[in-house]
Amino acid sequence: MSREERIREALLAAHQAGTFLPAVYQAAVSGKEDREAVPSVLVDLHNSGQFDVVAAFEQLQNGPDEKHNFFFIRHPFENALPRLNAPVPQVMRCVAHLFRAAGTDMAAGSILNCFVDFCTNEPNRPKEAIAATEADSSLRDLLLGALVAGSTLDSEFYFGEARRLAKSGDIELRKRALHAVGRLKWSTGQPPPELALATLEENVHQEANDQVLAGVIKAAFSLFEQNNAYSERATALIASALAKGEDYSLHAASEIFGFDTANVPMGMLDVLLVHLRRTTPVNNRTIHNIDYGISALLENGDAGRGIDLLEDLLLAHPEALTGQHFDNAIRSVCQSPALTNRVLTRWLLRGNKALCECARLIVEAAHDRPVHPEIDPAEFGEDSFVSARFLARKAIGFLILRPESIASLLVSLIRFTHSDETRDELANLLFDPVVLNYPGSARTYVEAQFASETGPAKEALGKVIDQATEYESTLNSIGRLPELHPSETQRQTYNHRQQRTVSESMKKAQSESVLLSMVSRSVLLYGRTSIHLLRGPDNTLRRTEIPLRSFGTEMELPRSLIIEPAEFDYMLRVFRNEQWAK
Amino acid sequence: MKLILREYLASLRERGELDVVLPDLLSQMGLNVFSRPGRGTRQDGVDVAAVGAVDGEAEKVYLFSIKPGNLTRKDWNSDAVQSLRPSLDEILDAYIPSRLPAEHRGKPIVICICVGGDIQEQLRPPIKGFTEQAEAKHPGITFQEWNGDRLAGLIQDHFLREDLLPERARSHLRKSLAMLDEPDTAYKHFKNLARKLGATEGNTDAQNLTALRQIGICLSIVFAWARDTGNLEAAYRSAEIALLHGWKIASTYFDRQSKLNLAIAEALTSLIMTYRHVSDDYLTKVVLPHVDKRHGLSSAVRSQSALDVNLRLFDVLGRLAMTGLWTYWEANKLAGQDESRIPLSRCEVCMTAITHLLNNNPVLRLPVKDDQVIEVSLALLLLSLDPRFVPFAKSWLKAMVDQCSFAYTTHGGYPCILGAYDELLEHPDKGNAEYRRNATAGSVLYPMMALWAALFDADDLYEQIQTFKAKDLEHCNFQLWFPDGSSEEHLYTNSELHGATLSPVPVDLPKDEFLKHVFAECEATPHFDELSANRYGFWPIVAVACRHHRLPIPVQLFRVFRKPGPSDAAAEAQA
Repeated sequence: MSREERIREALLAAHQAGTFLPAVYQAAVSGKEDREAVPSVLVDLHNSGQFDVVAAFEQLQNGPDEKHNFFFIRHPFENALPRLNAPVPQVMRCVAHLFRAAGTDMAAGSILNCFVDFCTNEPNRPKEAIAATEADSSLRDLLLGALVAGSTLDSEFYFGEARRLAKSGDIELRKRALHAVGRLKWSTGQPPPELALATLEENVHQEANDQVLAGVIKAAFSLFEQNNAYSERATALIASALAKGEDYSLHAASEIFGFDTANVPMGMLDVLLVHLRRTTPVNNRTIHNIDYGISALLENGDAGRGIDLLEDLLLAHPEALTGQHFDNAIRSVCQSPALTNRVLTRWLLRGNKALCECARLIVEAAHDRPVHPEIDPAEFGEDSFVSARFLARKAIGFLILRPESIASLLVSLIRFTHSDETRDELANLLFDPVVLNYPGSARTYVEAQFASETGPAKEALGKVIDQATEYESTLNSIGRLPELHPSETQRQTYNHRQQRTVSESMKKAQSESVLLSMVSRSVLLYGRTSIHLLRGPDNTLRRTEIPLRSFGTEMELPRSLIIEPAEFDYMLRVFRNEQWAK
Repeated sequence: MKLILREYLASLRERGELDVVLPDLLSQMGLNVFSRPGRGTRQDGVDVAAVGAVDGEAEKVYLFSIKPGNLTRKDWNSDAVQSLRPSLDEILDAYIPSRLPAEHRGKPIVICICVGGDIQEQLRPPIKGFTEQAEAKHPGITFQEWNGDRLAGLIQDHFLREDLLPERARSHLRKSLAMLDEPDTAYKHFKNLARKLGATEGNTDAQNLTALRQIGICLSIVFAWARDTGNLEAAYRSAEIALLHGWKIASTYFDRQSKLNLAIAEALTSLIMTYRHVSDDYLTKVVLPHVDKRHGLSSAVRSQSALDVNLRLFDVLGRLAMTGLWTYWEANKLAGQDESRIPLSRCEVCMTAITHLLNNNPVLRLPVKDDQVIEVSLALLLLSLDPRFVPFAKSWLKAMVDQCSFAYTTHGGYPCILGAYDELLEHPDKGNAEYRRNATAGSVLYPMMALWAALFDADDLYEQIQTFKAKDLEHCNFQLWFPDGSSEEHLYTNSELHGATLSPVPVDLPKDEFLKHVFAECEATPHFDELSANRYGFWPIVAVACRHHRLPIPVQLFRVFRKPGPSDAAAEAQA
């Protein structure tokens, strides 16, 4: 019995037993060959009239309680879809359901491409599909696919259809039809006709609906991509749409900015940047796209525009937007020491809480190594006592859990300044609270810098080290005073609480872990090597050993958290909140 | 038990230790002690002198020359002032001929070489030679060796034997000694011992006297062992509870005629001396050398928890203030009576130490528990006794008020009424307004701060507390505690709830009216003044009781700082 026959019989039996979809899942995960054979088997089962595969897949659900992965089951159907002989409306109902059930997953739209292929395979299907979308509002998501599929058969006719539907009273049809104008397939080697652009221009002047305007923006950019000569007109179109549009339009703009950053001409980029500043923080996906866009700008040498946009968004929504919304941009900053220095100097010196918090995230983004930023003289400007002190205190206030980074910034300031007064003040801050609180990492860093430093900076660092030595030796001179130690009961109570807290954090982290969600777990009670018996291609068992390793991390907490928590908290709050008039 | 006692005796120092234990032992043996050690003076070689019969022998005069630890060649005869042989010569040549009280002349005399440990074997020949010569030269005078072994036997026979100290109580003592490395446990056993000894119902006067002396000797044993262990914590807490139970026994004798009054007073004095000795040693070892070091004591707590640092540092503050108050009390009580009186400058040492402690340990600017008002009150009370320290006290009070209100507003570690350690570890529940409201449902700390602000004439500070109350603490029941009629019965031993609480304390009143209102309550009942510790002039014992049993320091102790206000003048004029 061939592989296909085996799968066919298994699926047939499962269908009769009412377990068809789980059987598809089993076949999809049981090996590459089986997985690749499933679509053909499905086509055969359906087209030979064994049972209605389309109807069977319409039962597929996606939810947290489902036992089997939705996409593993949907994928064979997608591959089978173009070859199925089934009524268009039925297929559309099934595809629309499977598209919606996928939710916001990045793979949700892959089935729509297969639907296009399905429509392309029969000349009447696009027409039937368009008719079905007009008749049934639940199928509107498939209009774009139907028009695109049709345009591969007869571009002129289906462009006409798109223009017709662009004048429809139904917003859902209108917006998809206009979007389709940019996506239609023209005759081989031919650019889209000027009329396509004119259609958009005509509509944008009359249109007030935000969703439709979003479609116009997407279409305009598509036309520009197909013909760069349309750059100015497409830019003007996008500007007009954005001027009237709101959240949907901004989202469409963010998609262009986020995913096609490198292809956007300068003039269009300026238009996008102007309007994207209006994005409201509730639109997470739009913000997410903007994050991608900023990240691309930062990595492609247009850091100034990227930082400006990031700054403006953070400042416009200090409560709702934080650096965590821009994790890609932050990662991009971290990749360049020069950019890190520039951004940290600029934002700490501005002193705004939202920017400083974002600066903190930049420093904290490198989990595996300390960041050693230095001030950027171009951003810092004139050597002034007030600026240096302000920046140093902001660095302490916001980066307090990254002592080496603070020390690095302060040492670079000490090196930069020509003023004795400024140097003394910075050295004092470097000792207290930085080295005083972190006798390990910060002190080690300062000592290493001291060795390579020269001149007044070396002298200042020497003073810091002397102060730290004196402070430590004074504390060490006290020795052990058991009278002051907490009682055994108190120690146990504290340790128990700490263990509980760590355990809860661990469980939470595990539950959110992407890695752990992808693998199965097995618990080894003893030993430091895991032994497995694996079956090889020749069906023989092969013994393998996997040595186990322990993973750990450590962090140094500021001592003031323990010995003077209230004072420390107050100081940090003052440092974080103080402002100055430049 | 005898081994325990020998260890204990061998570790005693002469001054304030062995010479304190010995008279109590002799008294307990039935001898009449007619000379006790005085501070700074030597009585021609005699440290302690007693008369009476020992072991059924005839009545004799016993003259003790005391040396701590083992007697070595250096201790026997050298240029050192404390050498034994010169002391014995002085006894023979000076004390017996000229200072022995007339009523005891003609009685047989026994000169006792008293050592806490042993006499080294190589010293026996010279000592034997000396004593034989002296006995031959001075008929009626004999010599005896009272070494650690003999003293241990006598202590066991006269203090700790079964009929005097039941096995269960002895067991508490042994457990307390065994657990000195775990101060909580050691203290728990000592407290049980003190309670047992302090349960005097149905006792005869002699039994009460014995119990008082037993408390003293047991405390002394714990102290000596704790010192050897290198951890005085259990000894400190045991000293407080011993003092309080001792006072409870002794205080009933001051008002009545008893043949044993003098002996009771001596035993109490001895107990107070031991208590003071323990607290002085504690401060000398643990606190005073380190108060001037930045973060010194805070770091020495060696905990990962800020709560531990807070609790311990406020505790240290209270102990330091308590010692200062005792020193102040002694200086005033003994002023003009005794050339060995403690100069007030020692009190200043404590005050200065407090300023260093507060400056170098910022954790003391924010109490985490409302009942730390006790330590705050003791420190303010002490500092206020010297006008030079009042500005500092004011600034500290201001810093506390600032931090309390800031911590409250920001859901930081604001003072709360929680008591259990595990609850305090969870404090504060950040951002939970309902929790904060419950955790600050009542307070003695804030009204006490208001009282001190008013006493200091710090109008701004008083208004700051008024505003804090009106704006944030409207739900908080401001209150002050006063002793009531049952306090005398329960204050020292914490046997029952007692006292009365004045609430709400009206900090919304103008300062003078507030003071008038609070101090009017002081005058409304006589209970505070009628506490035995106050009646007999031992007011620091009230403070010790309050600190130890976690009761607020009574406001009456602060009356002395009140300046007459306009309302008083008006009232006077009206009168």
